[in-house]
Amino acid sequence: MVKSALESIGRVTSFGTRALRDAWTPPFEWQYLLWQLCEVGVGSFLLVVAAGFALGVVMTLHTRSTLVQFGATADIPSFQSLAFFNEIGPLVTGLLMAGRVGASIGAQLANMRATEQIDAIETLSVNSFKLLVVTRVIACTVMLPVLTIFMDASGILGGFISEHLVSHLSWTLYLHRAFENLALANFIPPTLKTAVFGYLIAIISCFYGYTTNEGSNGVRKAATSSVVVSSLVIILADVILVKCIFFLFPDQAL
Amino acid sequence: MKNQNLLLGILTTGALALFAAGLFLIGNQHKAFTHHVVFYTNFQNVEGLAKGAQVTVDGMIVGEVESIQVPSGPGQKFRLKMNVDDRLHGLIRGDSLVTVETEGLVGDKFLVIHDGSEHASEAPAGSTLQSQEQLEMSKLLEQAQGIMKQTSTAIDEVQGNLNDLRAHLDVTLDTATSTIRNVNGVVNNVNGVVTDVRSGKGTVGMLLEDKATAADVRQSVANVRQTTATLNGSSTRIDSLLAEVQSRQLLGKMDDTLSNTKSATQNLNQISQQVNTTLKSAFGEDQYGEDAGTNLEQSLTNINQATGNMADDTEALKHNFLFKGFFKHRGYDDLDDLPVEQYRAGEIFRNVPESRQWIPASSLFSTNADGSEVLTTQGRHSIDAAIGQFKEIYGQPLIIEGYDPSDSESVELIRSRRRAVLVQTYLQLHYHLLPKNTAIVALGSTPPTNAGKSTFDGVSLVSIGERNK
Repeated sequence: MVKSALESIGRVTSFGTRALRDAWTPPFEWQYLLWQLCEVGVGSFLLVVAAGFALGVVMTLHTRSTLVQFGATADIPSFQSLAFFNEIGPLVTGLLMAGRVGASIGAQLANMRATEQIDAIETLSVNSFKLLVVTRVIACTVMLPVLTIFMDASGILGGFISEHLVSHLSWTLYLHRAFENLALANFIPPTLKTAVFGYLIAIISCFYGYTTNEGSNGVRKAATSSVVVSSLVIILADVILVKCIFFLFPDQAL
Repeated sequence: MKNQNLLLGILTTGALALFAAGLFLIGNQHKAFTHHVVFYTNFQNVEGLAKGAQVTVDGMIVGEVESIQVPSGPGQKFRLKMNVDDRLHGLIRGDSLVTVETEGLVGDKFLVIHDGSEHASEAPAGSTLQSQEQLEMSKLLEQAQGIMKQTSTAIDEVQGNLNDLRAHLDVTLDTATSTIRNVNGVVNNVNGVVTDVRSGKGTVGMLLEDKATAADVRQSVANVRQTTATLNGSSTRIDSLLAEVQSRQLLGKMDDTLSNTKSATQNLNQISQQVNTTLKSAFGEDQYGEDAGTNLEQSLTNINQATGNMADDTEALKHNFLFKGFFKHRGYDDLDDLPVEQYRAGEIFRNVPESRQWIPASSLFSTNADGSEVLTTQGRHSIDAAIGQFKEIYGQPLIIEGYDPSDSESVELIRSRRRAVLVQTYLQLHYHLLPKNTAIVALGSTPPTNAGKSTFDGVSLVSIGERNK
């Protein structure tokens, strides 16, 4: 069991290393990459924005009920922005993408493998790994930070609308308070760490889909494993990345 | 495919715009895009203050703590570097204090730069501001304990004083009892003396019993009665005088005056004490041990030296080739002291300007019994008439030449100068001419050769400003 798990980790690592290496060597599949970027970014946009907005509203409602007991409702925008920019935005975006894109990639590649489409691509002397895997890895790595920014923005907007309906707080004052205690270290490193999430989601999903060889059952397994494993790996990676951020920006750890 | 590109472009542009907006919003909060001035301050205890903590002036957030330098050893202080918005620089003065404050009960720590005083100069950028440590609760309790101890000591002292007072009262009561006893003894003695007098003993007894003495006494009484009558008359007049005084409320006024005088005296006393204190502090020794008199003397010596040097300098300047032409053209160097021979050799004297006014002595002066000359009313009119001939007399030099033909040269010199001085004094007083603009010169009896006169007896007025025009 342990041996099997370690073996799987080794294979995934090898798969990821190959993807990193092939990303820098021609030929570059620009057209397919563009299509993947659109598929990952534009396709997930509404999901991310809607989820962020709802989370912003819910978080403000919960925070208000707690802070009102201490007479610190003025700090709601500050808490909201700190929570979203530091952790909720990046992590939720990663998990959402693991669910939507991870499942999609795993199922699609597994199906292509089952229906021998990948073999067909190979017979046309096209590097199927570069075409199918590298483009998806790049698309996920690039698009995760972009979607995270939208998640943060919609979360702040949702928080404002929720707060405005209760306390009639102005947008200017909300924005001022939201960014009052925010440092660049609360914004840039957490946003950029989602690129790692995107890379992990793409590698794990592609691995399960690209390497399966069990027909329709393989499609099911690939889809499920892609979502489960990539979600778990994102959370675990987040722990390490947060510690790395604290190491690089020690003031944030105070 | 075209549609995909468009959507992707919108997504990327939107994300970049939001990213940039986030950067600017955060940057603005941290004043990253404003001009900063750096100040430093030192704290023994930073109270949990962290790098990036806010810095406020008058409640406005003006910057943040950029760095906290940790002390290298015990007894040294943390050194805080603050970035402050340049626009608020004017509020931060040399005597501004920096304190660590807490936002609410559980809020963040932040720095407050308190306003300095108006008379203090603006704190220069990069300077170290004074800090004031936050008072800790333990120290407050310590102070309260000290106050309690002092109070207890004071109460003990008061109790001791009360005990002393009681002891003094006991002694006083004893003394009073003893005194009353002595008074009783004295009364008994007086009683014995009166009994003796009644029985004709002693001088008083003789006065009461002897007839001749009684006649003398009677005569004395008559004299006394007469004197009393006289006194009675006097007292009646005094009564009427007092009544008059009372009717005019003079006593009340006198009383008020006395009260006012007393109050004024007290005030004067206070003022004199204050003046005395002020004088003591003013004339006391300074930090170098020198008293005010010595300092003043030294200052006056310095001023004398400086003015002497300045006089030398200006004299040197007059002879400088750059300025020499001006003085030569003007015809004189200094109105205060016109040397006679130099004046005679000068352009003003030799050329006899048209603006010169001759006034003979007969229309100016009269001679006193002691031989001295004084300006007459007619003389003043003559001067007024001569002044009227000038177009302008203010702001330009006026030279008063005195002439007096006498037997000896020295007398000529003295009398001609005296005449010039009399006219100069009148001009300065009557026309308010500035002393610096009037000059006198005693020329004896000899006027300029081309004036058409071999000698002259009187005064000549020369307006240099008119000559220059």
